[in-house]
Amino acid sequence: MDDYQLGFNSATDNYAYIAEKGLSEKLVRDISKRKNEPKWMLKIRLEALKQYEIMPIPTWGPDLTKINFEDIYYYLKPVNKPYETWEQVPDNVRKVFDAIGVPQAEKMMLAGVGNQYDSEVIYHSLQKVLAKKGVVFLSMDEGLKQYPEIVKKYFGKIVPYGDNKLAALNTAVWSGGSFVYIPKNVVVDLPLQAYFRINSENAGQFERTLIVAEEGSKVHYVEGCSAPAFSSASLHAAVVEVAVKEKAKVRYTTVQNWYKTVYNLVTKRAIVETDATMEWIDCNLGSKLTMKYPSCVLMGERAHGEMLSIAVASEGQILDTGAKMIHLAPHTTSKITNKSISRGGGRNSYRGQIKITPQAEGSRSKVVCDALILDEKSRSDTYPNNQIMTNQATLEHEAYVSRIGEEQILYLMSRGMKQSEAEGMIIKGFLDPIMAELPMEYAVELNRLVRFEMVGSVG
Amino acid sequence: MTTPLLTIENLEISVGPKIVLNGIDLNVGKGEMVMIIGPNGGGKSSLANFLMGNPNYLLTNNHGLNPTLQFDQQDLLTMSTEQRSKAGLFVSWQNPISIPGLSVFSLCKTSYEVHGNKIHRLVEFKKMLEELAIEVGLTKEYVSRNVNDGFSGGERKRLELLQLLLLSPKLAVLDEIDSGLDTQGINILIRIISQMKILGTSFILITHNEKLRGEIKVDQILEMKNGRLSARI
Repeated sequence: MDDYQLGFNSATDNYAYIAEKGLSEKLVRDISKRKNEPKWMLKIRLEALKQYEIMPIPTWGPDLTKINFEDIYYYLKPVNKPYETWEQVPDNVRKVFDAIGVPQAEKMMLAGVGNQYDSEVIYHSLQKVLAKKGVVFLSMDEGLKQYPEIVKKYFGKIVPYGDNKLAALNTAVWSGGSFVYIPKNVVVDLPLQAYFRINSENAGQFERTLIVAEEGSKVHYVEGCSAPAFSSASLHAAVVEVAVKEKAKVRYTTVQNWYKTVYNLVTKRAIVETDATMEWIDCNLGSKLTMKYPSCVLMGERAHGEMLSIAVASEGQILDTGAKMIHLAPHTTSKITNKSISRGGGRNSYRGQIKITPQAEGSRSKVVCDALILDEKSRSDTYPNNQIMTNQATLEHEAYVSRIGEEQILYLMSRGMKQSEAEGMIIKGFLDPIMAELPMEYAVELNRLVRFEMVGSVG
Repeated sequence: MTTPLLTIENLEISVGPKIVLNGIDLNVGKGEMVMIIGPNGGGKSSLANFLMGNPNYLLTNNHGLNPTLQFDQQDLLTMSTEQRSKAGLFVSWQNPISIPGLSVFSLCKTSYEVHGNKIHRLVEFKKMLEELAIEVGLTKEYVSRNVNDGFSGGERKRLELLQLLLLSPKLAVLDEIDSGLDTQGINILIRIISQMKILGTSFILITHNEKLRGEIKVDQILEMKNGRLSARI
């Protein structure tokens, strides 16, 4: 744990503003005031806070009682103003970003880089070509300032604060996250990337992301997380809302590598209109506990929802992931591919819901769960929940569990490979179908992270 | 008797509580072809597994007798599976397992390199693999496919033959390599191992098909039954 490679800690003394630990109406008002928010946003925050206070902690899944909600900073602001250029960013912050390779990524002609450093986006660049097309890629705070009408139209409409306790918490204290707007028929060829980072002990992370893809548009949004080392538990409760309009296509890729003390409880949902496509690609390596079930609400005819996920659970980790596909219109289709590796006592659970309503005749859904368990201590479970309310729909569900690649390892060792090489080759092969779907630099990073996870078993 | 390559003495092996090899002695000389026949469950595959170092196959205390497992002047008992392979031992498995996502090319490239061979140009190496694939009765497309993924029994055996040719070991233990092969496959097998034998490779050929005796020059033929080896005329 101590030699976590990406564990660059810079001092927290440089934060421009650190709120007190714990949650209160005063704090929520204070956050909203500091951000100069419109009244309606404050109103939503306060309503959400009330909702948060009365809602119970979810008990249907992993144990959340260990989270001490009183001992968390709900707002941190590292610098007073976001920076326009890389040179303006302070040294200690740049050091962290250099270490995770952001400027390199930029050199690689990435479309835009939005970086989250604790609770505020401090560095943000957007290539001119995107701006010319009318594409908006801002921090959520900035998005609210510049495009209040669009934000007001969608904020909390896809994931209302009453959805669950963590969504209510996020709505009350959200800070940062991305706002993306793609105008009608605009195709963004290169992925929009945002690197997220928590960097203060007990820093709560409550990003709020909203993506609106207008009719016929196309975008690929990528978030990668990599948290530095801290000693005590931290909470990450993000909310992501995506509106995919007619014939639009959105792909949302996440590489999650929070440090192994982080509780990562995320609500992600997309509404998908006629002939539109939403794809979630979700790679979970880090965190102490992750609960995340990205959803597609297939509202229009022939809408398509897809979920492709990888989870690697090692010692002390519980990764409770899955997807929800809600078919509300005829001839809608969905596919869920869930791959997990459990090792060193780690535990993966697949929790998925397929709901095909009476109106959704002619709809199809396919779920494939593929679990690789590397040792006797580790565990993998599936909890499918299917509600098919029409006769004219098909659902396929396949689940495979490979317990240990013992025979595969022997096979490769009998051809001269070391045990660690053999395990690495088997894992790489297992993950390959997902790697092929990722932007190249993310596939490289993910391969590296998986190998790093396997240190001790992968040389 | 030619120069000894493999010397086995007093080998008693168990899997869990079950004794599967019950005091085995065997000598295999350089360039020799040893055929082992016998009923299922008699211990033939156990011998292959133990020789290659399958960790589920363990030496018993063996009534105080000293077990010996010498291969090319090295003590195999102290060596891992990977080291045994690098020392020139090869087992063609009875049921070669599939490895989804790992291409035949990657498998062959890595094993070729860890055996100390240099690959100068990948294109040429791939071409060589494609030629080997054709030689064992596969097509060159198999080089790009994943290891045994969706392969028939016969195709799996052919891929084992391909690797046998590629790695050119000192001793190859072929565990029922002929089962699953059609007549054409059997002919390919006979041709390959006969040629390799001439070039100095030793073989332990585990089979149910005693007729192979008529097709291949066999130096010793042994029967394995109840975990014991006995000579057979």
